[in-house]
This record gives sequence, structure tokens and C-alpha cells, in this order.
Amino acid sequence: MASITFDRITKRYPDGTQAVSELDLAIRDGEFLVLVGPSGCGKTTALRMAAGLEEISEGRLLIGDRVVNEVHPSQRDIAMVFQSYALYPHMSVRENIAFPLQCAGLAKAEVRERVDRAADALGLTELLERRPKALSGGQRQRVAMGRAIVRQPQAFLMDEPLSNLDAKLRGQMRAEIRNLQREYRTTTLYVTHDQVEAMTMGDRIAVLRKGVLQQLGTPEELYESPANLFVAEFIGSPPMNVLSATVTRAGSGSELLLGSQRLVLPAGALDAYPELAGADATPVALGLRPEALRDAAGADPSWPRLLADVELVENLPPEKLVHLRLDAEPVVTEATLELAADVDQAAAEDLRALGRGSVLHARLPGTTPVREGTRAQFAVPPSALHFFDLSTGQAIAPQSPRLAAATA
Amino acid sequence: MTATMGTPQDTGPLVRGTVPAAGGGQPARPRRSRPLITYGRWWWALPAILAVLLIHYVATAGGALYAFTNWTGIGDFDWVGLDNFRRILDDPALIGSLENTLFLAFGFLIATNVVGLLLALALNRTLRTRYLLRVLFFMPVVLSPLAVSYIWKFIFDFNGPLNDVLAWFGAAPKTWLADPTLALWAVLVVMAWQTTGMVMVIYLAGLATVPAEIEEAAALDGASTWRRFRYITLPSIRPSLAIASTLMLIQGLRVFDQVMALTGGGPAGATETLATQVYKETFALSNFGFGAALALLLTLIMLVFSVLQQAATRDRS
Repeated sequence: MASITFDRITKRYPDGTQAVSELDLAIRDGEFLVLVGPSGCGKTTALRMAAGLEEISEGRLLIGDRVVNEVHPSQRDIAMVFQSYALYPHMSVRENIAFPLQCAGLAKAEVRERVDRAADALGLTELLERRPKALSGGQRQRVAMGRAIVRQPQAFLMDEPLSNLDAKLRGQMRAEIRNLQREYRTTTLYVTHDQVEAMTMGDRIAVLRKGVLQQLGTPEELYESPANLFVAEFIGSPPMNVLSATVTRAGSGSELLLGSQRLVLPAGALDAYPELAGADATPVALGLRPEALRDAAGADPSWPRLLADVELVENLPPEKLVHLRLDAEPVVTEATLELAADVDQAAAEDLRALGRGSVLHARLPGTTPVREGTRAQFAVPPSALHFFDLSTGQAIAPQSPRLAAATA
Repeated sequence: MTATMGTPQDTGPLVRGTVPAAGGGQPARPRRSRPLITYGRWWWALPAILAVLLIHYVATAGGALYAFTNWTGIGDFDWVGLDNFRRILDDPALIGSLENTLFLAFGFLIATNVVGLLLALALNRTLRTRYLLRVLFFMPVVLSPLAVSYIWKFIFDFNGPLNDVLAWFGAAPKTWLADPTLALWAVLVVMAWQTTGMVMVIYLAGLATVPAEIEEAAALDGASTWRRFRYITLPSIRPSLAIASTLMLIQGLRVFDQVMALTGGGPAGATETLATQVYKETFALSNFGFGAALALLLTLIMLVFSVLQQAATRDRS
């Protein structure tokens, strides 16, 4: 096992496009690090540079303590699982899994034994004599995993290995890959565009956008204190609601102007935010996670209240997913448009044309009495407020998350 | 074209037949199930089948009959049984031609496939000038074999460019086409030079079907360049190998143009092949019966080697 270190790595193509810019990333020995981002963000390029399949324009790549920029893929002692699995079609499952061992020059008996052990671990024993053509998607995926683990390499590189599977199988394989990695304690760099995969599998997650690292942290850190609007909207499903708001002073405390509404913040709620301490009529982007909107009945009376029109209630026991409309302006940045376009080009157009207010998503307990077509009041815990700079999209971070939580 | 013309009439009765049944009237008459889209009737192909049969197979079979006669092109002939074949086997010159043919065919097969595959591998992905180079290497294929042979005859001339170039390196000039040991090799070089581009294209087509990812996977699995070629690339292009080798073997066995243009079979029969002998016996010496026997022999040899070749390159899975 070994660590993998990206030391200010840049990838520039001959036509001048820069796929990865000065990436600094250290994957610790035995860690499962997920590199996530929308399509075209440079995550696969970064992975291929680690594999040695793509030349590094600038910077150093280290596996363990060794600089491997000029080392051929076959000499790096790493295993890769491809999105297409890249199984050898003319070889049986056994031959596929045995191939890396044969390349390493192992004795026949040992190859046989290790292939059998890997096949046993992956439930492939019955399929060893089949060709890849005769396997289902999930079985092919397992063979690709088998080929990776059988050699016990320094590190695993995985390039969207689950994206060709159906949703049910994907969930199952997610757990299987995670278990295998835990068992072998092999350093893993895992690339995906699916934030659910990233959140459920990664020890840490690195979010990449247009070749630039946005944030590196544990899933909790990314969810609870996103570094900027891009990470905030990328992580979480449904995504964080982002609205433009204005922070003003009112008496001893502060207020949030949200469309035509005033949200009175409890005294000291903004104390943790040095940048907002003296704020008066300061425009910000306000971020609210769907679960930050609570049923007003029974909520802490000091929490600010928010009125919104209930447009749609999706019953998803034990939850309700509620679409609300508010007359506050949505925040449409380049980053939000990019995220929307990644899902659906038409959705991005809609977002641009969205004129009358914003749509908010709220996730409420199934017992909450909300009805479509009514106006309802919601309570917002002050600790759940996220503030972002409207011009840069960077988070206006509290001094210490714990301090902010204490005031709630 | 004929296939699409008949389809409307074909489906007509079918549709008419099902309507009353669906309406609950008379019971539908059972009819043989027929595919929804039919591609015509076998007898539509009869004219083409007849043409091929008459012009190709009947004519060939008819010609083959002459192999058992002593016909000279005019007048009557007698059936001589296997005499013509006995004569072939007893004639050292003809055995020599057979040896030359096999030498050229297998030399051609190996040279074109090895060089063509190397070119295809070199020009598959890596080089930036690969598109231009592919065109350049393919160009000789489109030329007439006769024209190519005459150009090479000039190159091989005692006062020609090849000896001039060799002279720069201090080598003595050679009579390439007049030397019995060199002439056959010269013919082989010309044949291979002209056709290697064709083989390269066949292998390029095969290599295009091999996903880059499985070669990358093999590299990451720790396979050396040779191992990747031997165990990943080569098995993946097995169909191309079968096609290219069979085509080249057949083309090599029937070699004629290059020999006639370069040496005319000389010096002293050193480059005669079965095909040039067929031509000479039949049309120069008017031994139609004997020529037909030789041609039949050549055909059988081609058939046998093609079958063996197919068996050798078949996917054994």
C-alpha cells in the first residue's frame, strides 16, 4: 500500500485547453478518496494521469515517496477499474483475472490459487470458465474488480465503475466495493459524477470543477460547511436552496430580507460571522438545506419564520418532499447553470428564464400537515443558515462551526 | 431492388385473410406463419444463379474436362486419362515451377503480413503523420501490377538506380533479374512491395475494433509491450489475420503478371510459376489439354491451401 500525491499537477492539451489546474491532492495510505464533479471537470483526466495513461504537463505525481511522472503504467504497480470494465473479450473469466499475475511472472499453482481466492471473495467461482460476453453487467463489474484485487497492488484507481449498472445493482456494488476496500486496506482513488456515490463511499471527497479543486474534506464537512456555492449545490439531494437575500441591522440584532419578507434573527446569531458582524444592507446568497425548513408548529419560537406557497407535495414515506414558491430572487451563477446543464440542458434554460420568485425544496417528516395550494409557515434554525458572497460564490464561513452551533 | 418490389403484394393476402377472423365471422383458414417482413422469393435470384453457374462453374468444369484430353486447340481430340498429370509430375521443369510458385506464395504471405501488420501497428494511433503515411503506403495497391513491374524492371536494371545506390556503399553491381538465384527474390520483392499496403489496411481495420481501453488495462496489469501484443492485440485481430493471410496466399499462388513483366519466367525457367506455365503451354504452345491439366492442378492447390489456412487461423474457442 502507498499514498498517492498530486503535487501542483496541471494537464494542458496541445490545443491549449487546461483540463486540470495545479491540483494538490494527497490520498493517504489506505484511504478511499472520491474525486467528484460534473462531466468535463477533469476528474477522469486526473485519474488517468495517476495511472500513467495521460502525460502530466506540470507538477509531480508521487506514489509512496517515488516520483512516477515518467514511469510507465505497467511499472506503477496500480490496478484500475474502467467504466467499460475493459475485460479481455477473448479470455475466460479465469484468464482475465489471472492475467496480471501472469504478467508478474507468478508460478502456475500460485496463480491458480490466488484466482480461486479472488473469485471466491467476489462470488465468481461458478463463472470462471465463461467469457465476458456471457456475463451480465454486474458480473462483468465483479470480474473487473477481481482483476484489480488479485494482484494486491499499491493502489486502486476506479473510473466511474458503477455508471453502467442499473440503480439497484449500483447500490449493492457500492457496498461491495467499499467492503472490499476496507478488507484489503488498499489506497483507492475513485472517480464519479454521482454525489450520492461520493457521499456514501468516500473517506474523503475532493470536488473538482473545471479542473480546479473546490474543496477537500469528509462527506460531513462538505455537507455541513461547503466552501462555495458550487460545492453547496453539488452535494446533497435534493440540492441546497440558494436565494438572494440582504442582511440588515435591526435594533440590537439582525434581519434577513428575503423577497418581501423579513426574517428576524435571534440576537447573536451572526456573531460567529466576522464578515457579517457589521453588515447593513449587505446582499448575500442564502443557502438552506431542504431539511432546514421545519414545521413551524412546535419549533423553537426564537427561530425565524418563513412564509411560502406550497406548490407540490411529494409523499415519500417516511418523508414529504415539498416544493415551495417564494418571491425572493434565485441566485443564478455560472456554477449553478453548469450544474443544471449537466443534468439537463432544458433545465438550465428554465433556470435562466425563472422570473417570478424561486422554488424551494423542503424535506419534512411525513406527519407534517402541509397541503398543496396553501400558504404555510416554516421555521428555520439559525444554525442551518449558510451565507455566500454573491459576487465570488465563496462561503462566508463562521469562525468555528461549533461556536455557531452553540448559538442555535 | 427485387427484394423490396414484391413486398406489398406479399403482405396483401395476409392482411385480407386476418380481417374476417378478427371480426368473428368465418374461422380463419390456418396458414403457414410467415415472417412479417419477407425479403422476396428464392426464384427471383434464378437469373443471377444461372449466370454464375453457366459462366463460372459450368465453364470451369467444362475446361477441367480438357485436362483429360490431348486437344491442341483445333480439330479432334482423344481422351488420355491421367496422362497429362503424369507428364507434369515427370517434368523437372514443371516441378521447378511448382516449387517456385510455393516459394513465392509463402514468401509473399509472410512478407506482406509481417510488414503490413508492423505498418498497421505503427500507423494505428501514435504518429501524428499517420494519415498521410497510410495513404503513401497504400498507393502502390491502386497501380496496375504490370506498370509496377515495368518500373521495378527499370530499377533492377544493371545500369539502373538500385545498382547506383549500392555503388555508394561500395557494393558490386548485380544482374538482379538475370541471376537465377536472385531473380525469384526480385519477383517476390515487387509482389510484396505492391500489396503490403492492402494488408496494412486490413489490419488497420481490425485494430480499429480493438478498444484502446483493453490495451490500457493490459498495460496497467503490468504487461510488457510484447505481452500486450501477443496476448491482447493479436487475439483481438484474429479475423483480420485469417482474411489477410488467406487472400495473400491465394494471390501468391496465382502470381503471373509480375513474373511475365519482370523476367518472362527466365533466366532459363528460374522464375517460372504454374500460372506462367499454364499460359505458355496453352496459348504459346497450343497444348490446350495439357494447359488445362496444369490449371486444374493450380486450382486444386489453391483450394487445399485455402482450406488449411482457414483451419489454421480459426478461432479455437
